[in-house]
Amino acid sequence: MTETLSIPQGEVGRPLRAESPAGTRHVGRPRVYSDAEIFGAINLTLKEGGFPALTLDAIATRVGCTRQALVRRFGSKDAMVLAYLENMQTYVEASVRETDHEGPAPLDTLRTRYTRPAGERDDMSGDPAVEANLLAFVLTASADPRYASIIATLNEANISAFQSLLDSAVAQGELRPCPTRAIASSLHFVWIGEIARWCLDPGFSLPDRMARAFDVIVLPYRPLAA
Amino acid sequence: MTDALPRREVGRPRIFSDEAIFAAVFLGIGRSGYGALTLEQVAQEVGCTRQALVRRFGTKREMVLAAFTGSAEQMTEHVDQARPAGNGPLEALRDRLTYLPGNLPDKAGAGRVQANLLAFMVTSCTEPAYAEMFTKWFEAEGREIERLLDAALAEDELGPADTTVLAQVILAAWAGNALHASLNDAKVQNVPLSEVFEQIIAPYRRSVSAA
Repeated sequence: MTETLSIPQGEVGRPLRAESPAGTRHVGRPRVYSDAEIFGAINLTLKEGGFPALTLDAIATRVGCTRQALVRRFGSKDAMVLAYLENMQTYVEASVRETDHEGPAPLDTLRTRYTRPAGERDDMSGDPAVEANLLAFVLTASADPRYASIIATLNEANISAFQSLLDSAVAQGELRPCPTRAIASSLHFVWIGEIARWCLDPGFSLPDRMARAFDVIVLPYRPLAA
Repeated sequence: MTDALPRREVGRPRIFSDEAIFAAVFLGIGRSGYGALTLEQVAQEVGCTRQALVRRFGTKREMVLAAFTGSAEQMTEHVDQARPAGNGPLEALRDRLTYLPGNLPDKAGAGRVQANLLAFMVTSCTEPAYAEMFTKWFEAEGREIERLLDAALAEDELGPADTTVLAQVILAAWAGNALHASLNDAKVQNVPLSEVFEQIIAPYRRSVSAA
């Protein structure tokens, strides 16, 4: 649902020049900040303090530039967050494309992906307190229709990826014909729901919960024994 | 429990119910989040003074705890009333699940209100009392779902199933569906919870599992 700092960030917009401290000037070419650095700073700020902590000043401080430099590049805080979400969308869509939907064991691929520990996932943090902030950001940001549209696209990409693997499993005889879209949606809802519970109660094992859910939701559709 | 305003007025003091105060608490968090909620805001919504709330609850934190605890108790009471004679346990369970999100106040702006309430819930892990309250609520809700699944098993509506595990999966599906629904964007049609419930439970229904 959310992305981590390890994700490669694409270049969007103009490079950002570093601002010199008052009274000093750099000699030679000014330092240029990439979008990756800015999006990384946004990610870190959201992780630590959630949406309320996300201000242009906070990002500028982390990146080492001025608030005005961010305004010049993005126009506003809203536009900066929008660029961050669009970049996340690009990454998630690429990640879905890279999944081997036509591989020899789609059900194994899906189960492995579904039950992967939070700390090993590109789309989650391994720290429940951090994940709670990111989840709260998604919930809060969705008040803006522009953000909501991208967040909805991210959710849809996740459901579609599940469905694609389920369709392959049916095509390869690993599953009987079944309502793959509805099953994919259930898997998605349970995934989000268990993350929310994990935020409240970090004591339970998220991979175990996901494995249990996968077995309850998907395994009844395996071929019947002859 | 009720409370009275200071006896400055002539005649009987006005009484404010817990329900009215709790509704104002939910409305406040739902509109602008927990951080922005103040005793003054709730008092203004209810029509009492900040001091009246302080006398009754002590602090904002205690008031919010009381509101969510009271709401959880109402939900538990509801389930016992929600199974009219003739309704099977699975039907009662489906009704209960669809009642849960609808129990939130301010149904008119349900999506945004729900998003802010859920944001408060997931970030409450930083406050142990809140985290414990929500965790207990989930545990109690899981037990209620399991109780109805056990009844469905006993009444032969369900085939063989681990009702403890099934209850937890259904509970997680409810929470995830509520989160998804609160994102409130027309681009992705939200799946009604009743359909999610049917999808999860379908393979375990007796008519299916016996086939």
